[in-house]
Amino acid sequence: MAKEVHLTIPISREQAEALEPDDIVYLSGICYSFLYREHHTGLLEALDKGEPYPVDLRDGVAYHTGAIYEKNEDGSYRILSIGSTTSAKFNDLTPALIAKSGVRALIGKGGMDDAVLEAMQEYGCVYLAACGGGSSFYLPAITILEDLLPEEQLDTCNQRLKLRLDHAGPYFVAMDAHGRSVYREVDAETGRRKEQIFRALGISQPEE
Amino acid sequence: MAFSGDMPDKEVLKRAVKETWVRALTVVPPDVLAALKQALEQESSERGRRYLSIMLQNAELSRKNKTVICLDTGVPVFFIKTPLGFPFNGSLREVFDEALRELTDGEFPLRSVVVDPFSREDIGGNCARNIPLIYTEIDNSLDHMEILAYPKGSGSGIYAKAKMLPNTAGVDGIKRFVTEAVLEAGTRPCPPITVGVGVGGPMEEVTRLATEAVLRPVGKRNPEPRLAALEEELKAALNKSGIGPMGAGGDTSVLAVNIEYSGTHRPWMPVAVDINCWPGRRAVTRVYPDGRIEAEEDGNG
Repeated sequence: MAKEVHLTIPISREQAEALEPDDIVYLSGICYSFLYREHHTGLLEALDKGEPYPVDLRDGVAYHTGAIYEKNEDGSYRILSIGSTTSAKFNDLTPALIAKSGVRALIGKGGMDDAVLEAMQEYGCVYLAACGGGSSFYLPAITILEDLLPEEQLDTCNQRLKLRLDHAGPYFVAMDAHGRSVYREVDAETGRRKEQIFRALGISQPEE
Repeated sequence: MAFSGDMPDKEVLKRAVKETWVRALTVVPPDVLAALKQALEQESSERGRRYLSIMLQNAELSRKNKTVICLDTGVPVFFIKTPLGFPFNGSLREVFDEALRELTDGEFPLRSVVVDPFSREDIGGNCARNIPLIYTEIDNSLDHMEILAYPKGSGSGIYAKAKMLPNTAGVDGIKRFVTEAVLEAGTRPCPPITVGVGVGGPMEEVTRLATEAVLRPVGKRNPEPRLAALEEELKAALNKSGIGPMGAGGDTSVLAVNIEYSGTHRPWMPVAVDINCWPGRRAVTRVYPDGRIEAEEDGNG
């Protein structure tokens, strides 16, 4: 039975492993945005070389998003939009990220592949689904603390955000730390129904 | 239509472009909203209902707070319909570039998402070579200029497809192509999606038709019965896929399949598919020669 869970970051391995598909999660605490592949490769390089990096994901949360923001005169940030980007863009980089960073939860949309699911099971991490195109809905619970990218690299898209979540959510557990994935389930079901769809349209299936 | 005397200046047109763009980003069109509400009532999957409920709440908050529906505010695409002789002699390129730049850089802050495709360089302001895209169509039955905004998001836009099938592919080839495209996009383009299908023409026409189709209001069928039937048939079949809202499973995978067509060469059966994510973003504005700007509330040009 799906349960509602309020978690504060840092999240322990036990807390992550206690989550099951369809659980409703609200999150509080500090997390980091990952919008582009460069955000993943940058952290992975630093972890490989043992160099310091301003993003620490140990027992933490990586949010597949960017933001629209304005910087106030006092240096604080006014956030105008939050997202959830298509996580599948990061499929190939994520198993290493999970293994090396100690991240406990990824927030994104659309799901990730089996290699990611395996890494989640091995290291104790979950995938939390946000509703895509849910900016105004999620916005009130999210604050930008800092854009960590050096000033000269900043533009309206290129950003690396340190975010504070205050009971942000609901996010839905869509891939758990025990090898269960809502997306794999749906893909399998869609595959099974493919024949039915082609039959309904009175056409033969293309050869694979 | 003869025009005399009045002439909207550049600032009027810029204001019209800005209003249209902001409305497209913040207001879910009423036909899409109605379809989502209906889907929430009919959806059998609890997961599906959870997402549909958030979509509806997000639509309401975005409209009320004038905040963007989605972080990805998309490639700015505009379609203009205007009569010949509409009294504006300035540069439309300047109007659209300046409007998008002024919004992006402060009036309505946005991320600048467009880049040079080769260097991947960003010049800012949501401007790049030929972007904002401006497509124009002459329609001498109008007494105004109509501006339609279509913010093209990355997640749904990446699954668009076109192919010049041979004539022997027939209608079955179209059905197969559309089905494959939607199943390939699967859980990822923020379903429930609107599917625009273009058929016929040479290549540039078939892709334009797919976009015209995806922009047709949800629930409005093609006036030709044979095509209306095909639209219904495809929609019913694709909703058997089980993809569901946000790809988490359910009965609501597509809100509509819309088909537009043009004539084509004998050996050809060109087909294109454009996909729009659940908010079905679009907005339409009318500009009159005396400078009046009217929002088309139905987003239905």
